[in-house]
Amino acid sequence: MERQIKVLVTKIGLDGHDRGARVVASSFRNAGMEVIYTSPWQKIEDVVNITLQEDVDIVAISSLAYDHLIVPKLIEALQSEGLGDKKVLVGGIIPREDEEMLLNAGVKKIFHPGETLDSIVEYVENIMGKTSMK
Amino acid sequence: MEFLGIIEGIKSGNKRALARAITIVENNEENYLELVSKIYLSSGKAHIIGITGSPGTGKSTLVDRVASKLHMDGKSIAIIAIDPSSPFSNGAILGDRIRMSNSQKNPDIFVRSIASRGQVGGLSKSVGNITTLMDVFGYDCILIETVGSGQSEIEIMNLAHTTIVVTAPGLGDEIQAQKSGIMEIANLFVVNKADLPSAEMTANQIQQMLHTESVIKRKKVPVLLTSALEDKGIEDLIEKLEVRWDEINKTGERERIENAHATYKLTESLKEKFLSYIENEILNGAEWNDIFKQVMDRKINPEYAANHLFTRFLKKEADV
Amino acid sequence: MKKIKQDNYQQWSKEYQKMRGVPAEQDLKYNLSGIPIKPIYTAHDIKEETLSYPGEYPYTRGLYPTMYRGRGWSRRQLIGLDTPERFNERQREMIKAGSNAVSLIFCNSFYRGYDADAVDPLLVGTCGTPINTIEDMEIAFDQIPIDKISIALNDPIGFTGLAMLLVIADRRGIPYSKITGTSNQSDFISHFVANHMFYRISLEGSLKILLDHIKYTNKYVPNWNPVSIVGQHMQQAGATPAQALAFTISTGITYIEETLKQGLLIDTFAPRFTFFYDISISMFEEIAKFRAGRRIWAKLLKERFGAKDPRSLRFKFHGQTSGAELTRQQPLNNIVRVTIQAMAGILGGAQSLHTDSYDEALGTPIEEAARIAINTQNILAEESGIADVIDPIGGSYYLERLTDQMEEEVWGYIQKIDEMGGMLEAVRKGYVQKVIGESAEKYQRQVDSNQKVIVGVNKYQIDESEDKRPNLTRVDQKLVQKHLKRLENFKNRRDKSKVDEALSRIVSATNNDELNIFEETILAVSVGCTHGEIIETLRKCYGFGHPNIV
Repeated sequence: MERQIKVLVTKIGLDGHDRGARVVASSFRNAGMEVIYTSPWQKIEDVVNITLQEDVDIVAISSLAYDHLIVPKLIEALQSEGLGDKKVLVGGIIPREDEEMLLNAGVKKIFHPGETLDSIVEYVENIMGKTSMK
Repeated sequence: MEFLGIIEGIKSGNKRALARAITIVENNEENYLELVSKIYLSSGKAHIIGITGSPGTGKSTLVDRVASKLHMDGKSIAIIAIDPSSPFSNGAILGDRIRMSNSQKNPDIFVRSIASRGQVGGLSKSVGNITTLMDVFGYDCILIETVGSGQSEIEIMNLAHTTIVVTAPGLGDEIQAQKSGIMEIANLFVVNKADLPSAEMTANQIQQMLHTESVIKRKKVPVLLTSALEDKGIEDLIEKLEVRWDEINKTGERERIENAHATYKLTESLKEKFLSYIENEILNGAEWNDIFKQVMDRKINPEYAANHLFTRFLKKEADV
Repeated sequence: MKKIKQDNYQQWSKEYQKMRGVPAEQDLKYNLSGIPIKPIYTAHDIKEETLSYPGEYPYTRGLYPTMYRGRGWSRRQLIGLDTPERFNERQREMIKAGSNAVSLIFCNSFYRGYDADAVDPLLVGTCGTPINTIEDMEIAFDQIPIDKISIALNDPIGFTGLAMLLVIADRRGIPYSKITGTSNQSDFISHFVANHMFYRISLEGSLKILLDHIKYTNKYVPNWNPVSIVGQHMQQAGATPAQALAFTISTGITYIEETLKQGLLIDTFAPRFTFFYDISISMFEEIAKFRAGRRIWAKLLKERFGAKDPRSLRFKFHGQTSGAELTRQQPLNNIVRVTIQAMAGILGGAQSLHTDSYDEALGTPIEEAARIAINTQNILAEESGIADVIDPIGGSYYLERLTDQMEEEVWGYIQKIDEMGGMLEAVRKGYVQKVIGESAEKYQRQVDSNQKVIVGVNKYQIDESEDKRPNLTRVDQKLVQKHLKRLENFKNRRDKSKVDEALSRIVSATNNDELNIFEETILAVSVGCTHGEIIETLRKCYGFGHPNIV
């Protein structure tokens, strides 16, 4: 049986605008992935806990209002729990000035407004080598 | 994580190992059977509680409150939350966690979301294996929240020691429940959202139904009122759960339940084996096309053809 | 209705079909709300003369007889600056430059119900001004004549912002009746279903807090608008214009019904209801939305609630151009988008308007972008002549038909929500969230499949690997540290026993209908309770509000 890709779609920090997160989550579902979806404002330790318990492959963070600034702290926390192998993606309003900082911190890929849902899905399928087992 | 590392990890309380093992079992990865077999001997301690009922009854919130209260009472808790998979894409949004606000904030409560993946029998198999893993890990209570629709709800009784059926006022659930046979599997009935005005009435209707002939032989099934959102009635529910666990341990009822579980699991597994064997040996066998054509030409009738194929199959097996 | 002398519709229709290959009646497009749009509208499409005059029931053409001839719309830019000091500085400049309205957007930590010291310092002040204590508020409003200007506080449930403002009024000897303005976005239901910016207390608790706020201001702060019903979040989250209008009006019905239960008379509080909407680029549709909104609200208030005072019937709204439609690609194009959106708001008869900066899809606006945004309004108001005529496209066959259709569509949703038991029930059941989510997904699919064109995104793209945007403005961490230090000192200085007592009075008010939570909140901020402490107290009593996400 084909292994299904499991993704956590969440928002950390203080902002609550979740339209992007919702739409992306449902695209992942429509592409056959299993999606853990949370309400916004997750604390870093909550995201680590969910990632651990659910054994997701991908941690997708949506950020529209500077919450991306604490993504490096999230990645650090994941690493210290032995979850450094999880692939962290960030999407939303990310100023170009911050891209390098995020990529250096270990973010796999940043998606900006205007990205199509299909291309996001395709990216995830690619990095997960969709047809093969993990 | 290496295979042996995972087993060791589960036994020594490494949550990462448990989470990984669940993924292996959930996906029927190559060595999943070996994994669950190796630790099976250490299982059989946890109280497995199934929570079922229609969508909109507030099951997730109820599970959340029950879990955190049990945890406060010193019990270690794991939750399996099952959400439906999309029949079109096979994907799923697993959103029960959102409603489990207390448990989610409590790292001591292990919550795992599972997609139903469109399987009926298969789901109970993998969920059964997941409970084994959690049981060996050392959780005292494992709460299984079902999808909340369809005939598969009944299956929960083949996994759980205690089945809680949740309903809420105003859903017309009472009648539905009677039809689908879900009344019969309840060890405890909960009318959630008791803050709604018609809650008492719903509870009374359920009491009435429980007294109908089909279930009258059984022991009295408690009907409780809760309001998970307002955290009301939860202590009462927990007390009932504890009383039941003590009772079924003392009276030998637990053995009877586990006997039924084992029978079910064993026969289901056998059926599955036979089915796939038949598929390989008969449906893909040499004779199939010929016989099938004869059935289509109405030369022989399907049941006769089946008898014929089966006899031939048995004979061939004996010859080998 | 004027008779058309000679109707050549059949002739035109034939020509049309010949050239397009389909009959005109079947050559339909659909707007965001899903209303079919024909290639032409004629006198046949409109009912008998339904057009009233501006200021006349049901207010289709505008709320007031003179509209912008009498008084222009307020050009109200919502501003959040990273510290109370900087907010104060900017506001004083603006007042000097002739502004008579102040608006305050708080920091996201405030909206989440925390003090600045409870969140990651990297996030403090990124999206608004951190106000934690009465001291911060005094700094923010230092030398600002709060009795002479209209103040919009983006002040969600808890209303600590207004409480602090009233304490300042007390300290300056200003009577509450002189305080004018709006508790912007006090509509907790909208935050429950979309965007979730401010939502943090259970629905039941939020309702009691809002009702106490309405009751208190009704009695003591008579020129304050305690209710601002928000369609903006819903439309930003994906609702169509028709859905956003319907859901806000249903919300309004719920708030009215609940306030009536408190024993207030309709005409004493309904005039203080205001609305806040998103304005998309679908120009005619937006104009029709606002015209239909005025009609529906007036009819509801008059027929369903028996309001007599014409002020009760008026559907007053603030409009904000849609940020979700702005693109990161070729950002200067957004100036054009904002202009069209703003025109829709003005032609729709807005009472006040906020225009977005072109760089909102990139981060917090830079100063130049903010200036262009306000100048967009200035140009429209003072150069274009758009405001010279009242309801200038009223009477257009298309617009009148569209207004009727919009009204019909919206009544459909309102009826459905009524049948579900009102907006609170519809939200508890997740109905509203589901509708919005589905619309958002549908829209995105249309964009992805190029059915919906967004210039620079799915058509007319250019290579933009080089970002020409000027440098970002960033919150100075030194200022944040200074703010945090001030908060710490404030907490150490105050009389702890008074703080505890004030908080316990709030607790009593939460479970006693005789006591007013807002009144206790004013007392609490005056003795030094922080915003975070007050919200935490309310949250403990009422439970956290988890958005029901479907």
